[in-house]
Amino acid sequence: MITVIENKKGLNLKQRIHELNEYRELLWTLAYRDFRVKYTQTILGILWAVIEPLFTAVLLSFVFNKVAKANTFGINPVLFGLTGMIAWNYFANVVGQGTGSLILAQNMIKKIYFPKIILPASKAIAALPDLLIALVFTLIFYFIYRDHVGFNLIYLPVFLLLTIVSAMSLGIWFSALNIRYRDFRHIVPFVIRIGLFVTPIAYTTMDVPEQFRWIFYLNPMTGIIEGIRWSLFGLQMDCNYFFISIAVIIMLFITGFLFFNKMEKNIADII
Amino acid sequence: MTKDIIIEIENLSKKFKIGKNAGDLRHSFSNMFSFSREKPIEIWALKDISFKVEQGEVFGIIGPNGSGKSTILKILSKITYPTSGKAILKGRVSSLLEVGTGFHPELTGRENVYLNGSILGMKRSEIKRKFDEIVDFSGVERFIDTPVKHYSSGMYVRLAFSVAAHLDPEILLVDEVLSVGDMAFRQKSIGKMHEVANSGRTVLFVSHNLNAVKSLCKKGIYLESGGIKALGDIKKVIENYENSVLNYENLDATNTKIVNEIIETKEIVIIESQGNKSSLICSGDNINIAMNLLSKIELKDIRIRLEFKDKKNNVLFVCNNFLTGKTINLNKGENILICKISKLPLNTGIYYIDLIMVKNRQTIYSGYNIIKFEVTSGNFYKTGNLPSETRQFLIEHSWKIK
Repeated sequence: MITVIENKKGLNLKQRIHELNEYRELLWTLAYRDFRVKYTQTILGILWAVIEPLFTAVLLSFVFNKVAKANTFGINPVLFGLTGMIAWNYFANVVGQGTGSLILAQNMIKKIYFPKIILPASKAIAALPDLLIALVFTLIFYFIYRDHVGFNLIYLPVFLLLTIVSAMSLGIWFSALNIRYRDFRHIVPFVIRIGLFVTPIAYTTMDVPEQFRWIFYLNPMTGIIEGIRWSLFGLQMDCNYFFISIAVIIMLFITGFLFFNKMEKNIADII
Repeated sequence: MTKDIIIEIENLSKKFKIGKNAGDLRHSFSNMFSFSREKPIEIWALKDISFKVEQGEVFGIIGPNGSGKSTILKILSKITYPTSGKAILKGRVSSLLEVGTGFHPELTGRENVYLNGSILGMKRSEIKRKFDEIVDFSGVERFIDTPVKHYSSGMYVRLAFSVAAHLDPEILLVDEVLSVGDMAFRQKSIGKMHEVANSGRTVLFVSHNLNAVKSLCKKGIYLESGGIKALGDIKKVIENYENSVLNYENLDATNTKIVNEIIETKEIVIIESQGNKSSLICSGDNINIAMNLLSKIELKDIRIRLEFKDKKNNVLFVCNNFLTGKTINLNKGENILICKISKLPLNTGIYYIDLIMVKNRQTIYSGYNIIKFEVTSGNFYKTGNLPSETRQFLIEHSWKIK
């Protein structure tokens, strides 16, 4: 094995992917550590994965459906809110944790070499058990309340995968920005808090005036959550709008990887 | 017989930027729009370093603080990139830059071994295979399933070191880790280094401890201000180092080694309790060390360290504004800085002070033996009695019978 260390410009994609494959065990180990640490010395343990989205969903459905009278198309408002909330909760967790992941691990970064993209990426894996448990709970709820289950259900994993990809991409983006500009430590929680309301968690984009609707779909989670509703409840979904969200996700994924790669060289020097 | 070259370093240089680029958006925006953009000052931490290491060698790197020793190891372990030049390494590299990286206090010893092992680049199967050996070597078998937050600091370090020591690299980079743990463990560690070297693998050893370097290495380099001062046989290299830096007989202010030209020391003096400049101090005196620093730029939040050393270059204690929590900002131009020491706790003898200044973890000034002073017997205990001269320190204390 020969390593040549020099100041090279540009990106050797094949080499990068090979290296990430070499370090895949570290990705799992770091994810396992985060997951373990999150629930040590808690009484309710993993139950928190259900409690948190459930209570937020109840609250949101109260605000949007009882107060603002949003249409849930005859679906139980809490179930309706919960289907959006589990995806949003995962997304918010991964992006929030990912943003600070490099700063938190600065000791490691300054002492050991590894592909640093693993740090924000591992947050997407560490939050998966939470997502799955909340999902199982939601599906139980769903099968109890739903007499008719559509064929669209088999597409649900696709939307979950899109959730993971978009959360990971944004986490990667923000972690790299946060290294250079610590302002993102304040910006990201703020954006996530606003996102809770501008993402159609307890309402649908049908309630949004037609001419503004495309703006909502610039938020990748809008397309994903509408997609989840489509697969679970067969609610109508406008494909043209949906593809705006998909395009945003793909763009975030590619640019996130490239931008991180550009920043990575200097992380240890400026952190 | 010539052996294979396993590390080849060619014209390696590393530049750091220091100055007005604080990490927030405001600065970036104001830099983007202002025309009078102030250029950051550049520092060469390494400049045109070239050397080769053969297979199976234990290669020593010595030199004073801020000379670039650690930067070399950081480049070789890919933590930071060189600005120009290149390094070719033939084999798997691991570094012992710091043991216990990534250890999490909430996790058990067992979990941390796996965590730390994979952070250090071991495969899971490899850790599994070596697990018993790692635990054996650390001597913490009984507590392996206890969260490490309940470990004593000694146990913690032993387990952490044990993981690092069981990496199987062809090239091992070691940066002064031999000072961790207790004596018995240190012996074990040195043994491990010998073992690694004897099995035909290569070790790069960075240290301040000249005795350790002498006993472990055959060849090495002596770095100063980012350049190679001496290269080759370790005895000659150490001799060269001792002659140049530790030359007490010819000591004067010209012995100051400056890393770069940002800061200049115009004058550094000790002011004794009567308010006079002096290099003859009574033990127990209150002294002020006054520095007149000429800075080329405004420097915010710098760390200034005074290291007090004995004749044998052992650091006895340090004064550091970071320790006392005092923020120091230097203005462009002259700055008078005073470090006050109450009741100097040194016994009679000759002492030296190094002055080191650090900004953003980068050494920007390193002055060796900038002051030499002599301490004479003073009235430390107000009794006129003092311990023998072999006792270096005086500590204020009292006795009582109950």
